[in-house]
Amino acid sequence: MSLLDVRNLEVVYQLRKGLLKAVDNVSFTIEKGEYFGIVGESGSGKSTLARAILRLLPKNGKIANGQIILNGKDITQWSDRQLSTVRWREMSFIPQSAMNALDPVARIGDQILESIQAHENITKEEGYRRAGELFKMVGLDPNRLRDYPHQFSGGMRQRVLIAMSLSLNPDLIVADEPTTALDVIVKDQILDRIDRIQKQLQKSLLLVTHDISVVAENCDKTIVMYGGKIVEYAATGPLLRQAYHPYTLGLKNAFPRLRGPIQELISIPGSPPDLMNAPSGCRFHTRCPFAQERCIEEEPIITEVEPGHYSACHFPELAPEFRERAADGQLWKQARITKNRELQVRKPSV
Amino acid sequence: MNDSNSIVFAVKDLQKWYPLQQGFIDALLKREKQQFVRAVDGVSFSIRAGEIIGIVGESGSGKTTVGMTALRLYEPTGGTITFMGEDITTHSGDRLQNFRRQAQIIFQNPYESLNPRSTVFESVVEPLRLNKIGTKDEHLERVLQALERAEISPPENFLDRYPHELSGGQRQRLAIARAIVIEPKFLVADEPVSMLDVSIRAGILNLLKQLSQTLETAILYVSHDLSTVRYICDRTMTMYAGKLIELGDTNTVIDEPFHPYTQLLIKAIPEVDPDVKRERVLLEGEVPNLVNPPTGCRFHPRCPFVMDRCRVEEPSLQEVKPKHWAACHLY
Repeated sequence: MSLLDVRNLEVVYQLRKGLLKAVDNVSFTIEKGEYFGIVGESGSGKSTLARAILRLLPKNGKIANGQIILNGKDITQWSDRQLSTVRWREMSFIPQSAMNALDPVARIGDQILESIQAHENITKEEGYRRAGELFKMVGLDPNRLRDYPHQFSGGMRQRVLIAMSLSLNPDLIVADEPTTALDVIVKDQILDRIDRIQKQLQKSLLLVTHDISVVAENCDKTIVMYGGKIVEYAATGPLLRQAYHPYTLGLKNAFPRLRGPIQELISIPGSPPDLMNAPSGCRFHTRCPFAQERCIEEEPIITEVEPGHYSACHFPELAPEFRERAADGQLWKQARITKNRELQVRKPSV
Repeated sequence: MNDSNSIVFAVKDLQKWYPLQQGFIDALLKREKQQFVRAVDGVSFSIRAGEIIGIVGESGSGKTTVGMTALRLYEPTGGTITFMGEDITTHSGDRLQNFRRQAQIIFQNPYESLNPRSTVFESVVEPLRLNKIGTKDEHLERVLQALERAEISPPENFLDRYPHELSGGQRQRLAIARAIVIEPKFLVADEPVSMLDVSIRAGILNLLKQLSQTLETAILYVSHDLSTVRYICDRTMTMYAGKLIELGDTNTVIDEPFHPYTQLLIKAIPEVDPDVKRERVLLEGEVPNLVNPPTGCRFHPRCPFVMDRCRVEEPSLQEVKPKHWAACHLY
């Protein structure tokens, strides 16, 4: 049994303009002790997916289809009361902005204590003792438990949130862009800390990020999302070395590197799709330099292209050719010219 | 290019101190000495035509303040600013206006820096109107040309659109078109791609690179992201706590950095290639308080190579190798 099993998940938002399907038919599993990454651009549905798993969707969002099975329990339709038995104990959350996640007028120690006491009957002394241990684990001085959030820097506050997420020893931790608001050096400290804790305590971790290099260095497995769908899913090494999906290839070529020879950066033409008017067929076809008629008409199904490596492209057999040709910036530019015309025909207002 | 005549823009000993607020009574009775946040404290550099120079540093290093002060959008506390050989530090009125006619800025967030009620045409034509450049007939032509250069194509189709109808990447291109419509000699780009998705960033970076060449614009590129700096900048500066601590050609600064801080900054950047294993070096501590910065070298409390001398004597910027300067007592 997998620790987390997400099956055919569909999440919709009720907007004034109508229903927006932010996550569309997503399935994957996380085993115990696995470090899992989800990468995607804005609007790819990565954060919505994380929040749906945590059952923390905003009021206008709901799970329209599919199942979320945590430790063998289908929590998809659970009420808040039922969820409180698994939250913090079986799965917890590290949010993006530590500035907003802490109560500015309560001592840090009390806030940790409160989150423990909500689920366990323990004394204040015992709670503070445990909070002290958590502080040590994330590299903070336990003497500062009585401080207020404003006395901590951004990086330290993020450490507090990591400590909190561990307070009830959950099996799964979901981290939504935990380092996006931080500076390079602090970011590296935090990622290093998360990595060490994950390995030491054998936690399962689901890290949501837009930064492909963060995933490359930390995660065992990676999901690439585009327009609400999984486009590729594999162990991180093979995914980056031998990508099958043109979007993954494009993402890699667009990413500036600090080491090795300077390569021409190739941008993917256009911008991420508007999910209110999602493109037909393959959602990436409007930006894909390899798109053919079939891609416009028929939606590709995610299939296993190699053991443990899944891709949602109609042409997995052409992947070796794609990898070679994707390194040519000219090719992507041409894609833009033809595709813009197409877009104008379909949507005159954009 | 190496001719000193081609220097477009230079600052010398640039300082920007912000007065710290004090209580009314204290101020009245002069009970406390006025304190300052020394955001930029003695920075000097120059930029040639067609050159892109990058400033990197963490938040609080003063890099954005340098960009803003360089354009006289903030008033400098000390130092001199030279544009096209002319000292413009204290210019005002028409003479300042004349400088601004040739210097522009692109901000980080294209969602906030554009007027949502102005059409694309109105946004781009505004700098021409404000600076009284060209006739009405010329305006349309120049707007179309600027949009074309910013790769918003076909430009005619965009003239009547509003920012909300554009994607993030297009908005940043619009901001660029607006900045280049007057063909500035000097351009400050403050984190121009950090709000954009990775797939779109590359296009904007390539565009800036191209513009510096075709228009011979000198660009000051401010960013925390060394990998984008490496991609477009000819030279790179590192700032730490209001000080310029390293300056040199981008490839030498990134491949063989001298200053321990630059070294650590580079080591902190993750690698996308799964076959390249990066050695993780952790730097403890945080950027110092700029009201009472550390004595001597401002980096000494966090520096792994700290010596006694670093605690008392402030290192000055030295040319350690030809055209590569660093402010560190190790050299």
